[in-house]
Amino acid sequence: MTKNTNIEEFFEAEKENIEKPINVERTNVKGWIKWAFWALRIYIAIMLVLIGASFLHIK
Amino acid sequence: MIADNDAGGVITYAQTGAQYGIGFFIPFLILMIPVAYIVQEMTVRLGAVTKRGHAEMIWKRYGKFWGAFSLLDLTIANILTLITEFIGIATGLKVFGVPSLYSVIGGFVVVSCVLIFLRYYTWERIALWIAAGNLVFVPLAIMAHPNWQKVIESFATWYIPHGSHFSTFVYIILANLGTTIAPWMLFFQQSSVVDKGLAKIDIPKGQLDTFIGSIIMGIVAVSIVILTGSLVFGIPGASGFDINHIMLILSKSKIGQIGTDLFALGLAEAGLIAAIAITASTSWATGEALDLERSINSKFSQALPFYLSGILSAALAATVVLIPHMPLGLLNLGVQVIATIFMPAAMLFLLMLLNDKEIMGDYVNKPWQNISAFTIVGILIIANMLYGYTVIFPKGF
Repeated sequence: MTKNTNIEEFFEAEKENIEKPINVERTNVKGWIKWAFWALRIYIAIMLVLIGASFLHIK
Repeated sequence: MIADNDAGGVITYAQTGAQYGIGFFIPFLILMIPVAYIVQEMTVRLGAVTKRGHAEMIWKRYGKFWGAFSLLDLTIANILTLITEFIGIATGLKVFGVPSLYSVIGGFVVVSCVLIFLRYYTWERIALWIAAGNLVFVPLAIMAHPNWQKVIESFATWYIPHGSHFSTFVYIILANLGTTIAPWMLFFQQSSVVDKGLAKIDIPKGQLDTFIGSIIMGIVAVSIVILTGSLVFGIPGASGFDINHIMLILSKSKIGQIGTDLFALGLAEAGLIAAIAITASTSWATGEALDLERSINSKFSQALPFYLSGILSAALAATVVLIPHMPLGLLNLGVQVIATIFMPAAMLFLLMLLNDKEIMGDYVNKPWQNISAFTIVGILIIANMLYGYTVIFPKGF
């Protein structure tokens, strides 16, 4: 009985450990990530201009 | 993974085959198999390690602005893509005499019921059974009695078809790339990994699952191109045929009306399975970003905003399809451009997260995975830019 309880407790503890989502905090953007964000902003700006132009071309 | 071949994908592959035959695009679509695998595998790893969805990770790691940007962009892209899925369902079932009103409403009811009433285990199995219908295109390709010698030779003599208009060719490349990797697929796969409860120990199985799905997706895509490349390509005006015209040609070909009926069924099925997946991806992303109850295992009453976000997006898309004289050209372009903007952004977030040692630990991307993924993003951006250029300056090439 004690042995079974121990096993159950072990699996409960493991389950708790396995299923827990990791703790995520906001990152300090630096290095290549900072450049990547700027590249993304420029890309979005260019694509927005292209979209505007695309819709103007639709007949 | 098989939902990758959605109604838009089936239409794109059918038109690609009709326009370019089986030369260039068979090897191209085979190349898309590793592309799909590399991208999707990253979401499996990220989901299993973090136990958090893609929208949630972006929101929490890079702040509200990028989180809201991703959610808004995904939701708009999903609604637009759902419109194409309902168009696919309506077009496919119209072959059997079902009016669009009934097929679209029927499709919406099925999608909603699958999301609301099925819990994850059953939901996944029902979705897989519907997805298995995608394989109908394989016997159809065989029934077309293609010139297999030509199919094999296409790998040895891979060249851009002569006389192709550059802008059309870039558009077709982009469309094929876009059907292989779309934003909703990243969000969908990561969220489903989390909702299913996969852990680090399950990653190899998740990778195998993704690998098998990628192979099947590639086989189906190639089958559709072989089918229309054998039976429709070369007919005068084939490059301008829409899907209705292609099905008309197929019904008069070797595969006959039965084959065409199966093709139409495959088209409707592709629309249905993708609509199920996209609706779930909207629900998951909304739940993750806004920190709401977000599991398919939750009861409808317990997770109302989660379920309603997906169902309302599907209802909006279905309504748009039923509006008479909708400018479908404008809608298609809308789908294209929204996905165009979003895909490199979604990929970039994925790559940043996969290289975040603090989050991924030992599961960070290996150099070959980064090289492959950044190459894909680069090709995507260049193709997008080229397409944009050809739209603005159609006489520039």
